[in-house]
Amino acid sequence: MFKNKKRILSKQYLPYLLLLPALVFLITILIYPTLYVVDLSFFKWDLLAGTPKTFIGLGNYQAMMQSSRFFGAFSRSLYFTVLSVSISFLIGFGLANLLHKGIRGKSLFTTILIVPMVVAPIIIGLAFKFMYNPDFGVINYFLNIFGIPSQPFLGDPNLALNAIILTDIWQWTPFMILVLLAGLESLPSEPFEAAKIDGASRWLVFRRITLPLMKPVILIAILIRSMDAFREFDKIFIMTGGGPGLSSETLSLLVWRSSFSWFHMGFAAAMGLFMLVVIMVISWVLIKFMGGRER
Amino acid sequence: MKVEFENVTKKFDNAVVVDNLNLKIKSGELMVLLGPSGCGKTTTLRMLAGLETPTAGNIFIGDNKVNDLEPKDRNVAMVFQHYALYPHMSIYDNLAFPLIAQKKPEEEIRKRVREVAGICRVENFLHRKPKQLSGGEQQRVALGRAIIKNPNVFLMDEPLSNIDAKLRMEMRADLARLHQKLKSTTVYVTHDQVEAMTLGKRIAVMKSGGLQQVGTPKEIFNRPANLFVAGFVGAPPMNMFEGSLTEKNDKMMIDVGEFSYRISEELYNLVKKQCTTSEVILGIRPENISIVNKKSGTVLARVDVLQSIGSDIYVYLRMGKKSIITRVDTSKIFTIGEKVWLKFNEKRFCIFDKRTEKIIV
Amino acid sequence: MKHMSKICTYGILVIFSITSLFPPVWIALTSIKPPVEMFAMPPCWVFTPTLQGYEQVLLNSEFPRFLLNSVIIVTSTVLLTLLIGSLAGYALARFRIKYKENLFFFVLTSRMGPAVVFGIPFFLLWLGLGLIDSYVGMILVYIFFNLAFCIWMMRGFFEEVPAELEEAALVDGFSRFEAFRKITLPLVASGLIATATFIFILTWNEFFYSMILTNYAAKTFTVQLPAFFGAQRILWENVTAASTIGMLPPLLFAILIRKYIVRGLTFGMVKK
Repeated sequence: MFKNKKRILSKQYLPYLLLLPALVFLITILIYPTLYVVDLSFFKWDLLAGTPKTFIGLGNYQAMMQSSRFFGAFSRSLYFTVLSVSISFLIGFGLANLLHKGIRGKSLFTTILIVPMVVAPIIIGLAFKFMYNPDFGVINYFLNIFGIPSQPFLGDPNLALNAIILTDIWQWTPFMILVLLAGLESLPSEPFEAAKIDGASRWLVFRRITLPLMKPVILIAILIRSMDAFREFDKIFIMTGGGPGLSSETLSLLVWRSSFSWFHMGFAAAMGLFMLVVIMVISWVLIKFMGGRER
Repeated sequence: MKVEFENVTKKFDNAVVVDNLNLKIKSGELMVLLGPSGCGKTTTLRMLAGLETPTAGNIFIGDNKVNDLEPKDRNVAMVFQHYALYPHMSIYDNLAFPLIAQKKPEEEIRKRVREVAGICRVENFLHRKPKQLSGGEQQRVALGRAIIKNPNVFLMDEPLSNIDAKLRMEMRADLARLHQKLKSTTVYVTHDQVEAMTLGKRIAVMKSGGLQQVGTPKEIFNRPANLFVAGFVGAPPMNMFEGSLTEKNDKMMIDVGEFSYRISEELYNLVKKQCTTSEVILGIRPENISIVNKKSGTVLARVDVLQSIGSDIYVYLRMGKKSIITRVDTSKIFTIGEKVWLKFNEKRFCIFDKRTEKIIV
Repeated sequence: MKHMSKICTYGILVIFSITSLFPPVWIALTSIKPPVEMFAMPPCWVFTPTLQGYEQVLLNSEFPRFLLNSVIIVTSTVLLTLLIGSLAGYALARFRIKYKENLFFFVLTSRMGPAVVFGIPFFLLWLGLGLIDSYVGMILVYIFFNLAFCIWMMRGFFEEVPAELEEAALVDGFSRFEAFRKITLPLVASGLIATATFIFILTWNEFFYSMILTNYAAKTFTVQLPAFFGAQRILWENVTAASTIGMLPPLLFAILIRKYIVRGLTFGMVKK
């Protein structure tokens, strides 16, 4: 009788037993920090000054809304995200279409594409910092060949952010290419064959068949990349640290600075939460969309 | 070994998938569980295998209650619908696997595998992997894997449904032959009534979790227990006419609207006694309707569609709003629109109570 | 005409390949250039290679120590995350668990949540628990970062092994655990390796958490890189050498599992 109970127990509860360590982990290490941040955002806590934690309700959020620095950083984050994602998407989609036509050496090419994505962002930041150098950087060398004078890329407030965006585009266009290519390759061939028989032009096929069918994959690629671009830190940190001035300070930089340079923990938490919410909104959009079509 | 289901019920969340099943299977018998998808036949099989546990009731293999036994302790073998061959192992290893589980010595395993491979005619594939074999060959290997452990009960879950028609016939013959030879208790699940009729010693027809009828193919064909069984088994399906029991001019009739069929007094009384209302459904199989000349015919109908299947011709007739199907051999010739006389074989009537859907006669 | 477009296509692809390979290759080249020629303008293409940078980095600095830290922390993270995550992924694949959408939201948020945000509570919590600059502290953080992703990916891989195969093994006479070991595990092996590689790459390249949560004892090599910025100038010979060393492991592993790259990048939403 007792033996039966044990067996039933293990059969029924086995899945939960397997899940348990993961669940414990996730809950303590994910939920707890998130709640901590939410909680912290309602306090003023200046670690450096040594003052105790004081509850200020929505004070941090008010300050945030009134801070021009915050809005500057936020707009720069948006600018960074939109520019990087859209340009890399356009280039990526174009190249994916080229590859899809059937090229010899496709597998070699796609292997090469992996390289930019798996080198550490911090290393890439360093590499480009080296290459952007006005005195001995190789990029300026090539510009000189075409008669363009050397630019102090990372030292010029007007150029810095864009130079970093270029780096981001360099690193992640392969992502777009590979994902979109996989999407193109997974499209069913029947609609295209039917269109061929119907005599549709290449542009018409692209617009009316390829694009609509590719919508899910395009959305996945863009949303995932957007989430990553929005929170980009390593490259900006190592290349300019947010400067010159504030010209490349994105929200991630500002949050970092607030919490680990000035130690205004509460304020940083509020801004950080804002960032997290933006990410969650993007991810929610993606999931709802995917749930609609079910993988 | 005999198998018995005693008041077995299975629920998934709140949906009842198997409803109070009582079924006895004799030792060495080939019992077919027949029914449409979702009727609970596969779940019943899986409960027998130990892959599902009954919510209520008991299952017996031999004289042992097996409700709480793990599959590995039940000494059953199962042939899955999609073969379930281990893709990363060779055919040899696939066949040897059950014996490895039983920790049999190397020598014996080798001997048995060769033996079974021979029976299933897969000796030439032993070193290959499953994906290199055709569907039929894979199924034979799956069969071999089941045979090799000399199980108490063979369980087969629609094993032939993924195989093309011609091969299916051959394999059906193979299975029948195998069953003859091994004389082992087999439970065979299928939704194909032709398969059920050709293979099974006895058939258990199920619908929505409930057992509709258990009997030999002949019993099921000629005396279906209810409307569902009558309609499910037999192709083309049984002709059903709704009608009522009436008395007109001292003649007992079943009035179907377009025609009235005269029946004997005994039959009338019998039906009247057992029927809950006077509404009945008259069923007659196409095989039991013949096209005759005016003198012996009782019903007039018009030829609507002719369908030749090679050996027979299905004649679809219309009578008023009703359609009738009958089956004739190819020597007869008809034209569409032609009016013909039909004769029903009264001995083969099935009269159903319209309300309960159960058979009366 | 078609010939022209083919040449154009190849041309574009070649140019793009060169662009993609250039920066890492340039760094690697620079790392073996003698310092003088490193900064020469126009850039030197021909030079006598020197291992001076590597000597500095590997023998005269503490870099090897931090490299070792990276190895230890990342390997532990991969193993532990795989262990916990695979079991959970298996449970989710086999047993009907509802709320798939919510789980995915969880997964995405934990992986995509900005490090700057989660860094704050981890920093404060670790400060309180004394886990700053410790292996344990870093491993815990990295498991947090990777676990949901691991569960999600492994769930996908386990779903591709039909439950029927495990059932056949059960009926063949094996226990649940043996069936898992003999049948499921071999079939999911490549998925395990792919997931492990993704976790490895992400964690190996990670910078932010390591920067704020370590000082010395558990510092990983990524944080050491900016440390090569000397007082007056950046010690490029060291930086490039260290960078080249750091680039190699992810590169090697990624190329090994390139079949699964797209799948991992898109959380299983796009499969080749």
